[in-house]
Amino acid sequence: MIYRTMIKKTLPRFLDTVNKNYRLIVPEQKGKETYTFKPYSGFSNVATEFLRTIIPPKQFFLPPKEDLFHVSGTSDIEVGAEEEPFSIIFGLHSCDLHGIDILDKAFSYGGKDTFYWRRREKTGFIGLSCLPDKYCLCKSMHTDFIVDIYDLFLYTLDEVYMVSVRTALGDDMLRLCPELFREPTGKEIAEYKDRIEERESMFTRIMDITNLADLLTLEYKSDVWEQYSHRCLFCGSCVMVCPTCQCFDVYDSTDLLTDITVRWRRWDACMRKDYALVTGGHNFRGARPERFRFRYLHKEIGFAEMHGKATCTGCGRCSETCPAGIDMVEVVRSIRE
Amino acid sequence: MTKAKEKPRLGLYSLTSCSGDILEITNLEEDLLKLLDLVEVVDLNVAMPATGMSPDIALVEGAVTQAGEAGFLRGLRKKVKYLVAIGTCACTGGVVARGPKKRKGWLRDVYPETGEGFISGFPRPVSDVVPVDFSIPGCPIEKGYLMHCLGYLLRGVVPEVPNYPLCMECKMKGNECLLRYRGLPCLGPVTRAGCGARQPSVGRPCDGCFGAYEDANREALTEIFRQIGLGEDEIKKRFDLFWERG
Repeated sequence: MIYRTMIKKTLPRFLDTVNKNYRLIVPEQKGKETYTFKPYSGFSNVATEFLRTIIPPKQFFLPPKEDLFHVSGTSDIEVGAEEEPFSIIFGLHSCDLHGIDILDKAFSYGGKDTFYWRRREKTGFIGLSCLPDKYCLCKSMHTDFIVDIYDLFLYTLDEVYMVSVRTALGDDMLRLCPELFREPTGKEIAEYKDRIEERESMFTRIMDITNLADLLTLEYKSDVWEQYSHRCLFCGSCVMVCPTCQCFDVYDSTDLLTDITVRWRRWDACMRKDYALVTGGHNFRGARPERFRFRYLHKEIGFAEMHGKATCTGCGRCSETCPAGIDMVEVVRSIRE
Repeated sequence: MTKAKEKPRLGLYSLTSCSGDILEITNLEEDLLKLLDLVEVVDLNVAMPATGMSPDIALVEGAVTQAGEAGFLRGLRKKVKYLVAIGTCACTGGVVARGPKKRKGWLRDVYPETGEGFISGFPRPVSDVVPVDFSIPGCPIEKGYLMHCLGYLLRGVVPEVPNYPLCMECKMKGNECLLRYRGLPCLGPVTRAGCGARQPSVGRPCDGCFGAYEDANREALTEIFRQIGLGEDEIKKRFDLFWERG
């Protein structure tokens, strides 16, 4: 890895240039408190101080609804996705990059998922540092910094960005406008260190995950699940906005007028009653508390048993989005008590 | 030359309603012409005289309120292969099935003198009178979903109704949650998906016209409505619009 600094005021020039060479995706403000990823439409629309987009970057590799392949009465099977240009996503925080890492593992387990990887392989990432708010749990989940996945990572200092260049693609991007980058000075390195320390002290909420997998399993029959299931709407919002929730449903539909049959894959949610319904009518998680519990068990245990890390990245989206105000920290505390 | 295969026959019937669902079908425009290549419309009681032919598939909109409508449905049921309720009025009674106790007063208010002899029973869904093969909810129905369902029915398969909350569909579109971020009394968390979140996508809370999906947690949403400052009357009105029958 090499490190460079870039004067903050030159970021528009840099992004303009990146946008000329790749399809650039950036965060934009949507509502008063919400943000969303959009194709770059000029620097004035780019949000640089934001924490989370409504929908995480998974949308770019696992779209909410995707045409896997289609077939008509007269043609062979045709693969659905159109050839897309190489994309760069700007503004990813450490938690979201960890989220992508988890998806990469999930969609490689037992063989590569071609539908996921055909998009993922054509995407580069420019990370961006951030300061936590009351929903951020990355420090607790050990996802508050990242050393892989990204191509470039921008740490915000007073006057400059400290730029970590991790890959050849990152270096390529730098070379698009080399005049913007230079060696960091001793003063800048010192400032970078101060900022890390400062950020560390800003986390106001901590979720204790010590032996959490064990506790969740031991408290499988706890009343906590029943209590929360009265408050929970089972609306599936937490699942949709989770950077690592990856469940999908696959189904076919035939267009009446064109006679083309499409095999779709669409996001699905374990909070949904039909999710664990199988042929013959048996439902493995028909009752609400079972479904509420399952999401926590899967976030903290299921994946960890195979890959050594929990699938919660601490991004805070589920707690921020939940219309019922159900907060993961509170649930975990209830289990711990 | 072999004789061209006969086209499946479609009948469209309007009971007591605003006819908004049949109107949506006429709004198919170009697609309507293509649809007419595939089916023969034998009945369209709001727009053309009956042909006297029996349909294979009957789409029925509106609630059953007037004398004769129940008998008509029973007769229709005997003739058709598929009887499909389209639109919320046909599925649940809809808006016209609000306020059963106030009904007499409303009749007097709306039709002062003539209302005296007016016969109008309490609006019932089609399925209260005859078995329906399938229901397509919505006020009005969603055109794309109707075409999807017709595609299935013309191939002899009864389609599935989406059984998940509107919130999922709304999130998939990347919308900001109106309940959470704007404190608007959105019925999305308890309402069946299928419309593509047409109201929340333009900043209006969902009114619940698709009705409840199985296992919707109405109690939890009622509690949230209280927390965002709605009074008991306002909460009742929100659910009343499409949810309450009797």
